This record gives sequence, C-alpha cells and structure tokens, in this order.
Amino acid sequence: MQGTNRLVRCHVRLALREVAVMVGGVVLSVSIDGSRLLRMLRAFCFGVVLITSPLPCRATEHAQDPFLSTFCFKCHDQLSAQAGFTLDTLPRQLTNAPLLHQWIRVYDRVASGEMPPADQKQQPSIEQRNQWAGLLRTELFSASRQLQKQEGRAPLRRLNRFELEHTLSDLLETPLAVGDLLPDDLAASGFDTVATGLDTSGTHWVRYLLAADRALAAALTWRPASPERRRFTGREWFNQQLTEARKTSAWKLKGSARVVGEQAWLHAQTREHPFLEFNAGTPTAPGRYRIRTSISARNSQGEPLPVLFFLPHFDLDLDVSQQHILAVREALADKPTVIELSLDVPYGSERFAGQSVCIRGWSLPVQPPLGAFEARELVGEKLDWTGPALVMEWVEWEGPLDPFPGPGYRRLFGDLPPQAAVAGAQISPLPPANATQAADHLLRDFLSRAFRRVVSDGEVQQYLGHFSTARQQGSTFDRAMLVAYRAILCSPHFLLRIEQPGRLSDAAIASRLSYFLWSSSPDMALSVAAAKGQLQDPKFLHATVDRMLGDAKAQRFVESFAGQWLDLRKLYETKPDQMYGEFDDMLLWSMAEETRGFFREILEQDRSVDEFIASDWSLLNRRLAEHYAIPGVHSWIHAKVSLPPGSHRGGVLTHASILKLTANGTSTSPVRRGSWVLNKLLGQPPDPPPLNVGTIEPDIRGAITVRQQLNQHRNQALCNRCHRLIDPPGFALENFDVIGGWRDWYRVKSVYQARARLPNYPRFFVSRGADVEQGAMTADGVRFRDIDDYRNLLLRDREQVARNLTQSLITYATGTPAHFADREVIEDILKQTAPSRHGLRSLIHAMVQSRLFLEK
Amino acid sequence: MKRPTVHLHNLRPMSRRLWLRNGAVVLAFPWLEAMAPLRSATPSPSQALAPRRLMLVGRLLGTHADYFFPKDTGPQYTASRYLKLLESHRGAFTVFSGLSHLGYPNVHHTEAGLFTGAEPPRIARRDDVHNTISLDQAVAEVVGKETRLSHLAVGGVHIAPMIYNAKGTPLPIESRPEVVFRNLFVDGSPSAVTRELQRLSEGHSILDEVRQQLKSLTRTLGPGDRDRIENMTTAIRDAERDLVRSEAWCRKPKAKVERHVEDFENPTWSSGQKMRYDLAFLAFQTDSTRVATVIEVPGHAGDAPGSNLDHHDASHHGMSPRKIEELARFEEEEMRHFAELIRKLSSVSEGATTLLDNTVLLWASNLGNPSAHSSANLPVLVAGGGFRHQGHIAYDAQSNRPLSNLYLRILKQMGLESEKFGCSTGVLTDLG
Repeated sequence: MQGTNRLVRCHVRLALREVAVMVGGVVLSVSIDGSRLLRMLRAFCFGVVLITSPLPCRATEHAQDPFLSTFCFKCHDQLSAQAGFTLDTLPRQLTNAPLLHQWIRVYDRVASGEMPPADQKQQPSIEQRNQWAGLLRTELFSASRQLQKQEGRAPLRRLNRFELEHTLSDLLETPLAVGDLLPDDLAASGFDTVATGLDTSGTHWVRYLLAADRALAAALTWRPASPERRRFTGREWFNQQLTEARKTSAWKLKGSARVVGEQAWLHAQTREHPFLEFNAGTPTAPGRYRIRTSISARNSQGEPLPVLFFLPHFDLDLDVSQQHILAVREALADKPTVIELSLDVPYGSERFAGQSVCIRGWSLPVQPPLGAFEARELVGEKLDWTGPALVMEWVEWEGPLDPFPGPGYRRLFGDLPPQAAVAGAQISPLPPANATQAADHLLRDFLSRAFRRVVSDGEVQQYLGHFSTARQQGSTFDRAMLVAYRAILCSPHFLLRIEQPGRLSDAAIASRLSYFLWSSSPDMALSVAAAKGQLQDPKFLHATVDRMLGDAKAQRFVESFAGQWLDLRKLYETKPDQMYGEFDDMLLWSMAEETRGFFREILEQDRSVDEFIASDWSLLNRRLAEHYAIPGVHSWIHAKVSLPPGSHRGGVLTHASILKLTANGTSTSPVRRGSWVLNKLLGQPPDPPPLNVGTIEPDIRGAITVRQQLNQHRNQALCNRCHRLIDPPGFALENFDVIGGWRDWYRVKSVYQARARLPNYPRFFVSRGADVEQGAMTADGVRFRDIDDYRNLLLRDREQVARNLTQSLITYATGTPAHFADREVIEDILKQTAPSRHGLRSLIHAMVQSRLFLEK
Repeated sequence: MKRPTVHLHNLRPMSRRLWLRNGAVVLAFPWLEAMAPLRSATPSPSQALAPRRLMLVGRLLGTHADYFFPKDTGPQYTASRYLKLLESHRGAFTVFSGLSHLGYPNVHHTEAGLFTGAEPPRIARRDDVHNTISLDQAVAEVVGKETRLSHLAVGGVHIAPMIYNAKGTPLPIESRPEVVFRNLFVDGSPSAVTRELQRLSEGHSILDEVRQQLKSLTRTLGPGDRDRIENMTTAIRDAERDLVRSEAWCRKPKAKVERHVEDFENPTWSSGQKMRYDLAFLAFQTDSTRVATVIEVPGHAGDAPGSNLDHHDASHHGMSPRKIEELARFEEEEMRHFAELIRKLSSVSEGATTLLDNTVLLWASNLGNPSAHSSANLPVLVAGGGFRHQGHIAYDAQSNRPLSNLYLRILKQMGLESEKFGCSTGVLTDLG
C-alpha cells in the first residue's frame, strides 16, 4: 500500500507541475505540486478529476480497455482532453482512494448512459455497456470493500458541540450549555457529525479543559434546598403592576387590564412595555422549572386565544432569530384551564442569563407604543370591556424541581452526605472515612458512564492516581476528586468516538445508537443491554431503536438531523423585507413547528418518505392555516390537518419554512430553490457554476422579474447544461413568496405600482408587480402547469428521494458518506423497505441492522 | 502509510536585512523610551525595531460599490461618498477594485474563504468546507510568540467561521469585547492568579495523559485513524504551548491602560465596532498582541443612525433607491468607526513613525454586490503598514486579480517570505 501510494505520488509529482483541476464543468488552472493535489483530492469526495500534462503514463497497472478506447478515448485522450479530462492515462489503481473516486465517477457517467454523449455517432450497444459496467463494478466494489475492511468505513471522530453539550448534561444530569466555549464545528458532506469536518486544534483542547470545569461547577452549584415556589392571583398581579406602573408612564396603559374578583382581565397587549404581561419568575439556578397558570379566553366567540411563554429580553422587532418564544399554548373559551410549561434552564446558558419567563397573549389588540400618540394615551379606558380578553386566575412558579443536592452531586459523590450548604459556595461532601476506597468506588462508576463501556482496573487506577497525587499535595477529598473528574472529561475516551475496525463491539453499537438518535451517550438500559450482548440480537436491536425513538431525547435527532437534512437550522438567518408586513413571530414559530412536527409524524407513524414530496396532510395551527388560506383550523396548537384540494400545500416543498429558508428575505430565486430540491430531496447536487459566470441581480422595482433575467441566461448552452435541471423545480415554486405565502403576482417596492389587497390578509395592501409565470418544462421535456403538477412529476423520482434519505441517514449516523461498496447495501435497504413504501422508521431500522451501521 | 507532512505555505521569518530591504522602517531608540510605561514585558533585543502588526477587518455584506469605489484611479482620485469620510487620511491607504477570490460561488458563506483564499472547491459548498490557513494565523504562527496573546479575534460569527489554523480547523472568535478586555488588561486578585496557575498546571498533566492515551490508541486503529490521532497529538502540543504561555503571562502584571471594563460592556452594533477597534488598538499599543482580526456583523434596524431596515434586508436592495439609502446608513456608520481607528493608530508615535505605519490594516468583505450575492469585485482597502500607498488601484472588473496576491504582498510586508498563499498566482507589486 505504502509503496504503490508513493509510486503514484511520485508520478503525479513528476507529471504535474501544472495541472488543471476539474470539478464538474469548472476548469480552473492552478499551479500546485502533486502532494498538495493528493491532499486536495482526499478532501473532496465529490468528483475531482485531474488531467496530467502530456507525458506518457508509466503506470503499468493501466490496462488497455477496448471499451474505453473505442468509445471514450476519442474525446478523452491526451490530445483532445474534452472537458479537461483524459482517460487513457488514468491509472487503474483502485487501491488508491483518490484514483478510486475518479474511476467511480467514470463508472457512474458511463453506466447511467450520460457518456458517451447522445450526440456521438459511435454508441455502445446495451450489452456492451452492461458488460463493461458489470466488470468495472465488480472491480470497484472489491477495491472499495477492501479499503473498508482494512480500517473500517467510518473514520475516528470527536463529539461535536451539540453532542458534547448533551453528553455532559446527561452524564451529570444537569442541564448545561458549553457551546459558547468551543470553536464552531464544520459540517462535511452536509452534516456536522461527519468525521472529516471534526478535527481538533490546540484551542479545542484548551477549551475542553474549560468546558470540564464548567460542567463540574454546574453539577455542584449551590441553590436553596427547597425549590422556590411563587404564586400570585390575578388581583395581586394587577395591584402590583399598578404600583409599579405609577412610577413610570405605563399608568397610561392601565385601561388595558382590569380586575374582576381574583381574576385579571387583559384586553390588550403591548410589544413595548412589560405592563401587560405576567412575569412568572426568574430562574435562580440551573435545573427544571414548572410554570403553571389557570387561564381562559373571554368574549372570543367561543374560540381559544393563544398564550405565549417567552423570554422578554429578545426584542420582537429587532432580533432576527426571533427565538424569544419558549412555547405556545392556548386559553380555552370561557373555561379556566391550567396550562403548564416545563423548562430546563441550562447552567452557563447565555439565552437564559438573568432572564425572567413571561406569559402574555398574542392576538389581543396591540397598544400603540407609549408616548407615540399622546391623544391615544387613554385608549384603554375607552375600551368598553366587550372585546376579547385573556383572563388569568393565578400563575405559579416552581423550581428548580430536582432534589437537593441535585442529581449532579450524586453523580460525582454518590451517597456521601453533603456538608452544610453555604449560600453561593459549591456543594461538597463530608470527607468519607476511607477516602481511597470511596474514590475508587466513585471513579469506577463515573468512568464507565463517561467512557460508555466497561473500564479496566488499570484505567481506574490511572485516575485514582490523579486523586492520590492531589491528596498528597494537600487537596481536600472533594477537590482531589474533581481533579480526577476533570481529567476524565478531557480524555480521548470521553471526547472521541472510538471504534475498532471490523464488527463493532456491543458498547460501540450502543454508542452509535445513542449518538445517532439522542446525540448523547447511552442510558443505563442501553449500557446494560450492551453488557449482556443483547444488541447482537436483531429483534432486540429493533425493539431498542423503537424504545429510543419513543424517548423525549429523540427530539434531538429531529432537531439535528432534520435541521441539517432540510436546512431547518438556517430558518432564522434572514428577516423578511418590510413589504411582508404580515410576517410575525408567531408565523415564524409556527412554520418551524410545522416542518419539525411533519418530520416527527412521518418518523413516528412510519409513513412513506414519498410524503416529503407530496402529502394530503400537514401539521397546522391557526396562524399557519391563515397564512396558507386553509379554513377551519381554530386551534393555536399544531395538529394534523387534511389539506383541501386546491390548497397547493402538502410535502416539505410547500412548507413555509423551506420556502423562507430558500429565499433571501427580499426576493426568491428559482436557482436557489431548484438547487435545494436537487441537493436535499434528490441528492443530486448540481455542479457549481463556471468561473466568472456573473450573477443575476434581483430588481424589485417592478420592471423585470428574476425569471425573465434567468431566461436570458439559460439560452447559453454552457449555462443550460445545468440550469435545465436546476430551474424547473425552482419555477414550480415561483408561486410562493419569500415567507411561503401563495402569490399570483410579485410584490414590488415601488410607489408607482397599483396597490392590491393580499387575498388571505385583507388588512394588507401591497404594490402589485408582474404576474407570476406559471409552469415550465422538466429537463426530460415534460411540461407542468404548477406546483401540484410538478409534485406529481417528482413522485416519479420517489425511489431516488428514498435513496438520498437513506444515504443522508448513513452519513449522519456513521460519520461518513456512503462508499461504492455500500451501494448494494443501500439498494438492499430500499428493497427491504419497499413494502412500507419506504417508511422513514423502516429505513432507520433497516439501516441500523445493516453492516454499514454494525461495522466500523 | 504515514502521510508526509505537507506544508501549504512556505513561511519562514525574514532575515533582518531582507526586512529592511523590503521597506521596513528603521526605528530609533526614543520610541522604546516613549513606549516603556505602557509595556509590561521587558523588551527583548529583537524588539529594537517597532514590531510589525497585522489587523484584518472582515465584513460580511460587501459595500455599495457606487458609494465606495472612486470613479478615477491613482493618488488624486475623486473621493466617493464613503471615502469622503476617510479624506483626512488620504495617502495613508489604498483602495483596490477588481480584486476577488476567483471562482468562489456567489453566496454568503464565501466569508469562510475571505481571509484564507482557499481553492474554490474547498469553499464550494457551505456544508462541506475544507479550508486552509487564514492570513492572520499564518502571521500569528510566526510573530505571535512574544506577546501575551498570539492573536486576538473579536467579533461575530455570521454564517461560517472565518479564521482557520494550518489544518483548516476553525478557531473561535470572541463575541464579547468585555471578555477580551479582561483577558488583556484586568489583573486577577492574587488568589485568583494562584487558582489559575493551579488550574493550568493540572491542565498540563491532563494533556500529558491525553497524549499518552492517544498514543496507546494508535495500536489498534487503522492507518487513516492513526493519521487523525497524529493530527490530534499535534493539536495537543499546541494546547500545551498555549498553557505554557498562559502560565508565563499569568505571573506578569497586565498592561495598564486608561480604560475600564465598563467601557466594553453591553455593546450595540455601533458601539461594538468602536469597542472592537479600541481593543485591537490598545492591544497593539501595549504590545499585548501583534495580530488582530475583527469581524463586523450585520446590524438591525435602528442600529445605524436613521436606519429603518435591517442591514441584511437593506443589502438585498433589489435596486430600490430607498433600500440603497438604508444600506448606506449602515455603511457610513462603519466607515466613520474605521476612520476613527485610522486616526488613533496614526496618532501614536513609534520613534520616527506611527503605530499606523507599523500596522498593516486590511479591510475587506467577501461579497462584491450583496444584492446579487456576487463574490467578484470585492471592496478591499489597505491602510498603514509602511506601504507606498496609491489612492485607488483599479484592476479589471470583468477579469479580477486574485485577492490572495495581495495577501502574499501583506505577508512579505510582515516579514514572511512565502511563495504562495491561498490561490495566489504571484505577488501584487503595485504597493511597492
């Protein structure tokens, strides 16, 4: 291996002082030496093809292949080098990973019929093509499989930030934030769980020391022994607010609320002043809190009213991320009901720092800002109290609910009784009678949890060494224990996912499962099952996956996997232009909930992945239903809703979230949306545009649409090669604006254009631009009228969507994208799951049972 | 199958003679006397020359071209709307047009490559970035050894990390100016120092053990993983050096400045820029670091005087004159802070020269026209650094020059001879 590698490197270095690197259709000349090129090639799994300068190839391995010389060399020999690619000198040396990648690309192009191109006279017969492809496939397979057997298909990787945070929180049973301490993770192949993106720098290790300190401090934070309990009635709240308000100009708002018996009635809301919200409490220590309120809606014509639990610090108008909403609940009409929020407040979290948790309505009339209109200052007093109101009987705040000392203390010091707590100081245990024995016992327990496997006596001794050294240097028992714990939390056995080549050990399978579905270490049940060898039993494994998906921690899989596969994490990156006056925080919250809930529903019910393309249902609340113009949805809580015909909704492509995150806030681009469909749903990303291609500059003044500009661009053959694939799905989505609303015409920013009323928002008038041009033609020449039509066409590719999702799951779960040798396994998974029409859960089960998951 | 170590950049410290030949400024001793009260460490012989500093200002939303680039070129250019704000420093900087990282996609995440100039395929996809070293780190690796911090990075992360080590691993950027100020200028109590030293010394033994554990892991893993362990071992060595440096500096009192931590608390979009620039300025002045990177993130409506739109929203102006005017409010505010930074740097004498003369100050964005997300014709400005400034140098707007060629020139100015950086095709010669 080493010899051949060196040989090739030598060849490359000799031959390539000047090389052209071709990525798809892009040719760029760079002057680099051969070893750098090899590094580069290793870094890119997507096709990087190199051509050598015209020097004869001396690689003896290169066999003469009559198929290639007949059908390919005419264009791809050293003289012609069409598209900058020469095949006749490409060494057929498949043990070399970069060369293997190139041959895979050759195989794919020929086997798919893309090459030789249709306009070439000389075409192989189907038999010739199949025979050639079959032979090469066997060669490629065995080469790829050989590489896997040698060192496993999944490279060693560290925990990413998301995983480290959850692992520490779960290990110490203390909610904890450490993300701000660590450098950003790089995603590779689309996911931040992929090994090649997860290198460490010196900074990482310095910061791991800090993260360990914070985690241990969090576990031992002092707090009052019993949870804080606060309860106020509506009347108490009102009187308190009035007292406070008299000190400021907020008294002007007093007409917006009133007291009826013990109840407080809120008739209005404000975005500006906290007078009209219930401040439930401020977390004083990390842990779990419970907030309850007895609340109802009045004068609401029998409809429920929405209630927000939120962090007031995040300014509604200013904060792009708009992540001030913690939860949305609803107050039922005329029937006081207790609504509740359980909240985990992480230690070290910037989001919660010094924050109180507040409750308010969302749909009540909004008070004008104080001082803005003096004439309206007493508007509240003019209310005749017949409008809708939120009626609060009481609010209750309780927490932290965990026992004292908290579970973190027990994780570190077991049953040792704590010293008398000193306010503000860390909790520490009373020194045990036999310190070394106690340390041995505690470290053994902690180590096996932290290292996610059974630990050896030697390992225990090693960390006992840290303890003893610290003791000899005069440290107290607890201080010396913390020295050892800190070392454990910085160990590679904790920070890295260590797997040995070949079939995974039971413990390694348990870890793969738990990081895949929970982004954290195995729980007790999973560890026990691993220790008993039960995970080798396919039935047990199946049941385990079901159990894990049923656990609340599976929400992390939704957040992390769907967040990256569907780009949901990018939803908050832009704020819509002011032209979109109907956009608000509840809409943003609702659109994110729809897609997450949709994914969860497909996962839980094992629904077909076809439904990601087209479904006759979605998860809507009243706000989103209004946005989609779907009648009959009254609840503010998302629920499964059948989509009426003609709604143009169904499938993630029509989710407002996806439509928003594929726009830039001001304008939409069919190119960006089309690329998203190819990339995320079909897993066939378009090649990057050629050099110096220029861009389309959107013009929202109303003169020319992006589509018109794009049509000019597409007429060029070079552009059309990719744009005939990219643009059609984008054109199909042209009827959706930057926040996912339906449009028949573009909204423009010009005072000269006619004003028009928004159909589903009768209060809003906007400037009307050109009509949206509907329909287009797919790359293979099929016309479609609109999105409904297009979705049906896309369903023809349902198997490719399932294949792409399977590949994404493999990439995410194993930390490396699928290899050539994995292809047959993937096809097998698709075959196995065909009866469920590729149910998402079935795909996960089949993937977990495959060798891709069970071998390193 | 041990992979040979490949050095991407042939960086080596320049000999003193070479440095002088390249136009570095010779300094006389009075500078040291003048600076002595501000300096915490005893000057080493190599500091007989005023240290060279590098400051990078990274911006994410481009600059409205019509208001930035002058229509004419050369030192006598007619000041554009924005350059009028820098008018009093004419001659101390050069504006470049027609520079870019050729072949970069037209998307926001090209900020990952702004200071690295990595080959386009490495930057092509946002969720598959494989970067190379950034300019600040290439310099900090060499000049960062003698100061409290090897480099300072402060600002926000927008979409992609912007500074990378030699392995292409992103390094953190501190978002809280207050934290940087404390690290640089606020001494801990004696007991806090003792605690920190204890923590650092424990850190040493932990890292030592980590290294041994990694070593024993290599026995069972395949060659690819052994390479990865090898990389980690290198990272651990870097971390250990970092701890040694921290220990040494922990014992020394921090430089005294006439500013307080309160001055760096609660940054707004606008005041945050001033704070970040002040931090870099103070750090340079006290020789607490010689390399600083400041990342300016987009503001929200109201952040710039008179603005009614978010910065990003305004940048997607779609040619609407009103939105362009909104964009200008943000950009003018940025320019005002930048002008103040130049003023401050030029107000500090270092012998016969000024701090500005000894600071290469690069101001650049990864987007040319943000409304089209275009990555061509980037707004680039270089100030100070002892260059022969040229006012406005315009390269072809259709066929841009590689920005990395300027980076190579900057490395040379920093005393680092290098044949290549990022996608450079040669060194830019127009600055002398």
